[in-house]
Amino acid sequence: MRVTAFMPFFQKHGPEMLQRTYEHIYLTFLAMLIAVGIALPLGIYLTRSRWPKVAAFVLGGAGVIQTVPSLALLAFIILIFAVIALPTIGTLPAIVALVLYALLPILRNTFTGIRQVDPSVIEVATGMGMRPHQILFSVELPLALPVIMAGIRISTVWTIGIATLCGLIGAGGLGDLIIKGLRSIQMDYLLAGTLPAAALALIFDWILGRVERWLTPKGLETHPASKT
Amino acid sequence: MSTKSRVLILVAVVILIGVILVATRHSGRARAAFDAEFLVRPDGYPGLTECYGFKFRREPMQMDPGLMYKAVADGVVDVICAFATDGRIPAYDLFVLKDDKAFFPPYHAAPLVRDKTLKEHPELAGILNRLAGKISNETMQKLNYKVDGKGRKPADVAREFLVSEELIRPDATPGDGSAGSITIGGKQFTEQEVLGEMMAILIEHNSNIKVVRKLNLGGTMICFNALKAGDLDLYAEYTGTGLVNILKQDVIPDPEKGYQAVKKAFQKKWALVWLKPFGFNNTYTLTIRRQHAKQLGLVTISDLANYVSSQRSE
Repeated sequence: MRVTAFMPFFQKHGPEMLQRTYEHIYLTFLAMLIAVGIALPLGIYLTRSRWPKVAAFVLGGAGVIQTVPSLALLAFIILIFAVIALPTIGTLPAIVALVLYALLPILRNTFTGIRQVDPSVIEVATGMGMRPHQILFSVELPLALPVIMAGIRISTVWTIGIATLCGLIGAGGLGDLIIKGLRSIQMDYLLAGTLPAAALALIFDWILGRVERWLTPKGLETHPASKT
Repeated sequence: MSTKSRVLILVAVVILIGVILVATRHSGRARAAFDAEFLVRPDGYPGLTECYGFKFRREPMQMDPGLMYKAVADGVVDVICAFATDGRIPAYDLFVLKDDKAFFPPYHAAPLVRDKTLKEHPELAGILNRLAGKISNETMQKLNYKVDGKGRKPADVAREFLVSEELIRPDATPGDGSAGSITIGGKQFTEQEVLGEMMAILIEHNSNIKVVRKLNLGGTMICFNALKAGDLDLYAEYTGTGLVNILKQDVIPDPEKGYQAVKKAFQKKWALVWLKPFGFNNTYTLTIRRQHAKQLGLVTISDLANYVSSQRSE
């Protein structure tokens, strides 16, 4: 098929697709930024916690959130926000829902990534006279990096998918186009929403893959886990 | 480059992107919130802006119809596309702008049934037509509000109404289901659920037909296509929706003529039968807060169009 066949499609939907894609990136990016900001330090803290029950409790809690269907989570947040007089529609409740959903994979992978570091390696580091924070930043985190990044990548791809629901509560995003397509059963609207969403997921995943390789220290590049 | 400096560069880049995203976002809030169907339908926002010759400066927000009423009442947005029979219009003290150019067609709800189903169950038409003219706009608003405002179940509200209208006896029991089963559909909003339950309960109590309920389908086209395909036997449709959205014809302002037009066309094209309308007219409206309407002196949609255009040129 020639490229010109797609011209009417882009003439009709192009501007809105751009606008919605921008909103989608906005929602996903901010949500992931906040989620990483919470889950990464929390995951590290849990590996250092003296009470193993705390880690089990926090990871379990994040797991429970994950079991709530995303549509229901959105509704719960609206109800809770209505009680505490926060805006029930628009970007804020959408981002809160996305953050809650994105937490678990990052948290769990940070925790297990650091935990799975070979104890003998840490022993060697201690024997070399490294301090605890040096061990964390120079030994544990670099070794756990592939696992942590895998968590962030999973989270990002999920968030891009779940963010399509935010169209229901006035937060915009590509879900707007998909919901219009669903309500009116028009293929062009569905495609105009779905194709950019799928492309975004692939692009974000690819970028994060490159970042992972870029961050991995030279000596660790052949670490078996990084091949996933 | 050391890993440490790479991490620092990464953090800097991420923060920079975040700042750019936040900074380039449109400031100011949308003035209007509409549901997805209204944004796409020819008798919705696209046609409305053409007819009245205005456009909101910021694209209207898309929102689930259930959330619109509270959003406008709380002042999060200023205009919504309310349904005329929604009980939250009086409950939240909202003001319906007069459609002075008669853009919105009449939307009288009536059971839309497959001809084949009526032939298989000849008693069905008579049973459903007992609801003809029984529900006024005010009645439908009250029924809807019992669900949306008071949290009652649509099935209980529907049954109560049927009992109060003496269409079923309070102690009546459903038939034994020996006469086969039919499937009733409904779109995903309260009124459709109440009407669906009402028709289902009425049929169950006046015949031996077993009724399967599929009352939360995602919109007009999903219901209509399912009906055409035979996955549904009937659902409550609105004359204006049938005319403009399904048949893609122009508005017929006269309710009776509009009803006859869809009746004839649906029978001929798809062998679907419009039974007698329930009575109320659930038209789309543009609705704003009463206080806000007074403050700006808005009474009609033309007033709103003028107001929006004057804001735009400033």
